[in-house]
Amino acid sequence: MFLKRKDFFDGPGAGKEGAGPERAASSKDKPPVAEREAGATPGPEPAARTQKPAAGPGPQPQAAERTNANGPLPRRGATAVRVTDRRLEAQLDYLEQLARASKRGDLAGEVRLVRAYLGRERFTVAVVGEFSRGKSSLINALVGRDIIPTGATLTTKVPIHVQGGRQACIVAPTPSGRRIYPLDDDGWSDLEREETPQELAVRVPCALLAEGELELVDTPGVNSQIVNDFTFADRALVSCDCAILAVSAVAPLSELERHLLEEHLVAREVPRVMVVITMLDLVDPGEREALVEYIGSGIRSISSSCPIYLSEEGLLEGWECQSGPRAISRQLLSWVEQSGHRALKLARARMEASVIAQSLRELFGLRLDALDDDRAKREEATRRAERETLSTARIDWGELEVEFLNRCNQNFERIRKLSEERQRDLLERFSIELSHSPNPKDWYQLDYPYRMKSELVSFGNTLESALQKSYGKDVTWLNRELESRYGIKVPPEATRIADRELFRQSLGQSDVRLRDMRATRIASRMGAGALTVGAYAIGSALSLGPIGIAMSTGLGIVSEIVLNGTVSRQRRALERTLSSDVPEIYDRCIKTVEDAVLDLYNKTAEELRGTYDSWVRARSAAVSGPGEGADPEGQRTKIAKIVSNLDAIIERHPITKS
Amino acid sequence: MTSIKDFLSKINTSPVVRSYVAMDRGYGFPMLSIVGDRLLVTVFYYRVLPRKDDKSLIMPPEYVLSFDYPSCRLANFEALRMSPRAEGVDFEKPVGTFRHDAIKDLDRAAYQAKKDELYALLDRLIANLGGEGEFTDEDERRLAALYQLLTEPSLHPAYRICAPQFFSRFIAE
Ligand SMILES: Nc1nc2c(ncn2[C@@H]2O[C@H](COP(=O)(O)OP(=O)(O)OP(=O)(O)O)[C@@H](O)[C@H]2O)c(=O)[nH]1
Ligand SMILES: [Mg+2]
Repeated sequence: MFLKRKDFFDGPGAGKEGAGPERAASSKDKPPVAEREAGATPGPEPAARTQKPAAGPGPQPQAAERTNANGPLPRRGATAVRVTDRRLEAQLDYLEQLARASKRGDLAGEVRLVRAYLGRERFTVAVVGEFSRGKSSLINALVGRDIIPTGATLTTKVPIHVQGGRQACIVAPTPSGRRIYPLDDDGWSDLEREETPQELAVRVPCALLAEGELELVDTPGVNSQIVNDFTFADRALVSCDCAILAVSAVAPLSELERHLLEEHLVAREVPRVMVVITMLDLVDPGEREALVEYIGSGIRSISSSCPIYLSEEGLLEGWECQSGPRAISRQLLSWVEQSGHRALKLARARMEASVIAQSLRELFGLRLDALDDDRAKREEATRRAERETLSTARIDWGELEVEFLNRCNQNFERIRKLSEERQRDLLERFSIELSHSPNPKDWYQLDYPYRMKSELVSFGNTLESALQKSYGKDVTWLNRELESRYGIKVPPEATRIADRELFRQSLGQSDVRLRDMRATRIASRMGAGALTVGAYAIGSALSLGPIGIAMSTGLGIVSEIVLNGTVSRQRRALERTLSSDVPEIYDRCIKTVEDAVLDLYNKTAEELRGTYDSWVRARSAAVSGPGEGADPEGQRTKIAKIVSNLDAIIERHPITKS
Repeated sequence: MTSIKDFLSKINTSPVVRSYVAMDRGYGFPMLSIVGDRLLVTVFYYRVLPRKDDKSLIMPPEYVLSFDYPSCRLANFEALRMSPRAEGVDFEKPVGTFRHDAIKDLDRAAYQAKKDELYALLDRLIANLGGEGEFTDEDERRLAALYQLLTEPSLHPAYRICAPQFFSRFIAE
């Protein structure tokens, strides 16, 4: 141990001004800067934005671009990818109208995106993946020029549309129009200082882009966002003709990447999907083939037709035709040329329409159920009203409460099962990674906490949305029972599943831990930064709730001695550690979440008891059945019609006019 | 013994700092703290936007890192942008300008000389904490004087928060 004078700061003579100021200082442990802003003069304004000649709305690039990208470029017949289809258009109109009528602006917006997609002439290639997987580097390689900044930390913050143009420039939309920046380091840093656009376009002279009327879209890493992990990727994906999933050889095929490929690319019928393996140069040459095979088999298990390319040439024998930017460009261009693309695009748009229809179907389906239930319950209520006494009502309420809490337990069973499946998967993957890692100790100390983190974040998201959905359902159930039997509801009454905030609000005091899950998500944006560094840092510095706790207790119990042993000894020891570590981490995570959720159900049950008391007091006013709708039968028929129309769109059959 | 200068250059080229601290961030003077039986060196990282004539803008510190001495192992990492401790801080707003009045008259060489002297004294303090050599009251006064001279007053709140005890002993006026 280095330190001999542990008492330096507290011994006699410590602190010239005695202990007072110290205590004062730490009690004021508040923002370093906000505090001084109050007293001191604010720093000078950032220097005026005058230095860069091109930083203004430069007329030149704009003019050049007008005759180029927007103007009539020579077009080839085969590249026309605009699609028109009457039936689909009618369906889209119908969906938009329903979405508007149900006040679902979000769905109406999605309909518009699908329309725009059908009408677009460019062949759009979205590059997606987790952060720091070399997406931007790949685009630079394809364009043959370093146009987009790359880096070890989070770099790409908004989607960047790279298009052909005569003059290289960055185009940033501004509230009042748009602004052109030079396409160089200065341009990027000026831009970063001056604007915070939602997305950007980069124009660059480039044969690949011009020839195929191709557009490349760089996206921020999928797990790097605050609000929703897939927002940016999804937005780019809805309107793309092709997607490239960038997978790093150094952290091959995570849970999130599989999910992205399976749910967001394959299931959503993106017409063409390609996987590009980056950073293979960082892998020991002897290990490359096995690694590529491992990634390949993982991908084939999700999609059999998705080609795999390596981002660089000359890395692996036998892969010459599928290595490097030129091979990738060739593949992209051949896709552009293929006449089948129109059909794929149409199929894709139908798919999107069907997804939107499903959301609406859920909505109208619920209404229909409610009407049906009401009818049955109404009849029952009239019968009840005759014989019901306060005592039977009490039993009734008690049963409801028990049933409600029972539902909570069923949810737990479900998530436990889910957790077991995921643990098994994860352990299997870790063990493969461990056996491929030339330096298990580094893997364990650097990669593992990070991997574990992203798995838990993704698991947290899954849990959260699953539980939120079930809670919404359970409360809706409870309220429907209550309303039809007694004409009352228990707050929270509005439980629209799509409204994520609601879940948190309804948690009230006890939501801290679930909110922490969100903090984790925010943390994952900083990223790399906040969370990768090691167990103790995560737990203490960020106090991240379930995940933080799990990570800080679960990690770091492998002794130094083992970690300094031979590679195979390390592997064995680490495998053992992992197989006890991982379940424990999951267990803690789930327990914490369960506590919070149980609390929530209990609160609602308490509400229920309170409501019962007031109901009893108001009981003197006779049991009245729920108010008759003006024309329940007519309404029912109308909604049933809508539901069957939506079913037709979901099945991708023609709809009949209502 | 690892000199503080070497220690700093070692941590600043470490994968941790390379990967998690944005590239163009500068760092403040190192501070010491004692946690249990470990000696920690705490540094924060912030951005300076260069402007002419002592008008360079000092931006709020963004990361605080503590390393175990002498192993260089990371002991704590805090991204202030996300920290509740820095809630309400506008990270895009400068907190002050570099250089402050007290060092306006020093030229580059003189500034460097003071800095070297500070590091040398810090080395002696660290050695002494490790049970070697002397660190007299006179040394302590001198080290405090140097910290007070060289640290930017606009960053003092940050120094205080990162290592309160060290701050009150060596930096607070
Ligand atoms: N050795 C090696 N490094 C690479 C390769 N591809 C990318 N890198 C490096 O990896 C880091 C991340 O690359 P980026 O292209 O910025 O990654 P990204 O996916 O765009 O990252 P975000 O925009 O932050 O999501 C950079 O430092 C690149 O230089 C590769 O094939 N080999
Ligand atoms: Mg990028």
